[in-house]
Amino acid sequence: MDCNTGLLGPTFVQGLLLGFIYALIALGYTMVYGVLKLINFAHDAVFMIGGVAAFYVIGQWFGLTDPFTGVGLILVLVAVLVIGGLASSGGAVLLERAAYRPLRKRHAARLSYLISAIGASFFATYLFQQSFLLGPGKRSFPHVMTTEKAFEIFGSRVNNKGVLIIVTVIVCLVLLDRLINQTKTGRSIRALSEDVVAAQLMGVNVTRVIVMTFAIGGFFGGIASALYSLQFGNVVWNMGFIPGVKAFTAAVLGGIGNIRGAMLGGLLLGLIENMSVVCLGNQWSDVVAFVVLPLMLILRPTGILGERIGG
Amino acid sequence: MGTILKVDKVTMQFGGLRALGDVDFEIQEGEIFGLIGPNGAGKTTMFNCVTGVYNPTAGSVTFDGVAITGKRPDQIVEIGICRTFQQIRLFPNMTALENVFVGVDARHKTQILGAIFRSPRHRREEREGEAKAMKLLEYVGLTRFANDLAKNLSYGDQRRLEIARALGTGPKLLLLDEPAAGMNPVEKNGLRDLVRKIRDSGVTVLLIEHDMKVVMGLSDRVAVLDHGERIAYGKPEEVQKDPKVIEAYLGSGAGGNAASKQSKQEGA
Amino acid sequence: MAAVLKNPGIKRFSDNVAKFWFAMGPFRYLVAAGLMILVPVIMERGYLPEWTLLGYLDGLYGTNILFTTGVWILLALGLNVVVGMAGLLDLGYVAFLMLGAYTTALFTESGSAEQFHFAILNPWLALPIALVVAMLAGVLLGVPTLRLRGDYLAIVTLGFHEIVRQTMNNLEVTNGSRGIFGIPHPSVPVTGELGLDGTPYWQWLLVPAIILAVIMIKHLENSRVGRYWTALREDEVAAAAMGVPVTKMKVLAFVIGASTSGVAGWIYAVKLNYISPNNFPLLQSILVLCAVVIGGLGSIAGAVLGAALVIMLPEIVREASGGAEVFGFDIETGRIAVFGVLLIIVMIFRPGGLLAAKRRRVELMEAGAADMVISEAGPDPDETAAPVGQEPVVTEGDDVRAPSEGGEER
Repeated sequence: MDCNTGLLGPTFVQGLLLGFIYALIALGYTMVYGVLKLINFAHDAVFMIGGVAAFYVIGQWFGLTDPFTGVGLILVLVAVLVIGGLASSGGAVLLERAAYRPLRKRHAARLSYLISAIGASFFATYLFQQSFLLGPGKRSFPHVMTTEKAFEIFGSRVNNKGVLIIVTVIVCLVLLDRLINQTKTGRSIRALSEDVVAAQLMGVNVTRVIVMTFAIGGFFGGIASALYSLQFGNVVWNMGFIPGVKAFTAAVLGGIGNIRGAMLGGLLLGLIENMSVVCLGNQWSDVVAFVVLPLMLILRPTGILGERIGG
Repeated sequence: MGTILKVDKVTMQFGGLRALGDVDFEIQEGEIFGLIGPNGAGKTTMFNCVTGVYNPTAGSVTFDGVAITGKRPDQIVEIGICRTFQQIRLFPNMTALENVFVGVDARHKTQILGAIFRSPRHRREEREGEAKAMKLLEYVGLTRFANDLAKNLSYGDQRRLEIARALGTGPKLLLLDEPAAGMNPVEKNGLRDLVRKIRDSGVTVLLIEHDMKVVMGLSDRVAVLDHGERIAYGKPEEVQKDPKVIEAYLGSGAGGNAASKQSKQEGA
Repeated sequence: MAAVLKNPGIKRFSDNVAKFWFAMGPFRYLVAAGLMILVPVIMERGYLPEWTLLGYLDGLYGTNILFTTGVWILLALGLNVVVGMAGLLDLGYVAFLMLGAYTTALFTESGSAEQFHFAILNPWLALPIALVVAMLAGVLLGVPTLRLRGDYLAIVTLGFHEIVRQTMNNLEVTNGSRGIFGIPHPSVPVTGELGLDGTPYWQWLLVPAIILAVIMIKHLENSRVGRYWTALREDEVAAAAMGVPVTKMKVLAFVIGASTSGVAGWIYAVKLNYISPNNFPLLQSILVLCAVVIGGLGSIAGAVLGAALVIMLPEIVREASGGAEVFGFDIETGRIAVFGVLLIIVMIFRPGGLLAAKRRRVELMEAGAADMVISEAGPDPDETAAPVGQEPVVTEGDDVRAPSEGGEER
């Protein structure tokens, strides 16, 4: 194996940034798993909606396609992220309403939920592929931010978009931590994760909490989507698929249902995947990511940190 | 009559928790042996160690002179031990007959190719298996429910079906985990008769039971577990008088329920 | 749809048809083969009226659709064993089709002179090799993933599809993303080499393969093996305690499932002459699952119907509407959006699928609160009372439960 050690620095930074994004998406998988004990197979579509909404609102409606600087830049970035977050959040709530709640009412079998979620994901994704929406090709994301070098670490550059990703993800995590541990909604979510029947007896409105969980998970997914679109400069109908699968993998890797596990899994997967490029080359990175998961699960069947729920 | 099951210094450790510590007992062929103790005493853990669900941390279990520790559950069934569950675990969407058939299949040899090509052995086994399963349903008195889904049976019938399914595997030793739990007095009487009938047909029975009336009336010998230790061992009437046993049942809050049943038994 | 199927008149009619059908005994397979060969020939000639819907699929176009449908029926039959019978959710099933097809290419006289071959064999000899390779891959996937439960298995199998596809895409011996050309057609003594016109692939390869697969699966279903699979799906712990060799039976489900798609892969490769990683997007794995679910999990007839619907219906719609777009939806991709909605609807209103298997029908239609502990209303006594065979929400056991795979919900 010939390793290109010169790539070590850049791939590390790249892996870290991607890992942060995976982690943010993985939160959505993990939170829904926490309350429903089901993997939300439609989270990839929820993710896609965020970036696409920002593309439509910022790029198509307001026509803001030129780079901004200073305060204008900060405002427009906040707008991009919030639009992405809200759109995905709305998408997630709709998803719960259409594909999960009717099944819950009928006490469906586990497999039914997975299939219904896959159906929802298909519908949303391929709807956007139709020419009256996004169409089959890539659409370039509004170029609101020029890429500039911010600082150098391990001999590799981190640009301003990288800084944006790191800052945003950290802010999101602090927010989520406070939400889960210090608010009433957070307490309800934790209660539901621990014991459904007891939570119901204690007066937790299960449906409301489930909707909130989807909304919160979707919100972070949407922010991740907006960051992802900014970073790669385009949106496309199936943009959710690969990050979705990776984040899903990350969530399982860290221990699904476990919020810290999602973070750890995301970072780890981003790093492993990108560092593999150093020795194996670009084309094998997806294969590496998919091999890591079964290996990990064989060693630790419930992920690195286990399925502990809550903070 | 020789020893059929020998449990030798079995210890089971879950992390920091010692569920069983150096437990010893021997079961004679053809007897009904009771394993009793308050909640959390380690009885079901003992079952799981014997049936291959857990691999004991230390010690050994010998069946008919063969060490069975470390064997898989299906291998243990083949050797001749089968069990029922404390919480009923039937195959809910299979019929009663099919449930027993799965048990009977444990003694069948048809492999995948035999099944695909309908080998003579496959045909014979299907025929004989169905007959045997029907016979077992009759044995436990469930013939008329043969084609009903297991989940639609009444609670007591489900318990009986579990026993029939376990008997289907042709065990020499049958492990019953609280078979009387949740049964009404009439069902309990029926169960007592059934367990005796099973013993009389030559199957040794190891019984976990909370209902003292049932267990003391049925068992030839008993072992008492408390906090994973064997605190008494012997004939029911001796064990009942053992001060350690009385203390285990009366001393801890968890045992209160069983103790009251026990005192009722003594009063009777 | 559900309402139509519940109509008493239609129900009586379909019951009578079923009664007649099964009264034929083994002859029904011959009748089925006859029909399966006769109808497509008539269809191909364009003699079927359009109201039969099949009437839209005439000529070479119809033949090609028919071919794809046949391949997909084989796939759905195999996946139905894994998901429907043994209850193992496999989201990467098309990986086996890929392996069958690539094995065929690498063991026959395919590609240019530089193309790598393990051996150059008659295409017929490549068939058993493709079959064995797919089955071995079933073992390879099965063994490490056995301890994983449902949701994890889903993601790992999905990963398996991508691993296989990307490997084919990256390796030099498989000619990377360019794929392999020139896989030879097999020849049949009666008709000579199987060409592209007419329905020879359907009648000589697909119909026999489908009938054999159906017979094989039917025989397995009504045997010790099938009962063991059902028992495993119902309650793994109880199954093990009744002597079911859990590991072996799960691997066996993967292997039997893989076998039909190994054969399908061979047929696919020798008919199309050309394969590339782009022929096997992950989407296909999911579409096969759609076919199995829409048809009816665990139901053999359902798998056949599901595959036919998933492949033929969009084409019929395309032909009937006379264009590539219907209501602004592209037929190729728009159908997936439609299937998405259909999946949700089927899961809500008819979870057993269109032709539900007898057992599954009971299991999925009745409110078996079993797996799902969250309900809309507050906890009612029936639900909290731990239904039969399920891990109870609160274990009132007298012992500590160690974390064991068995204790997990399916």
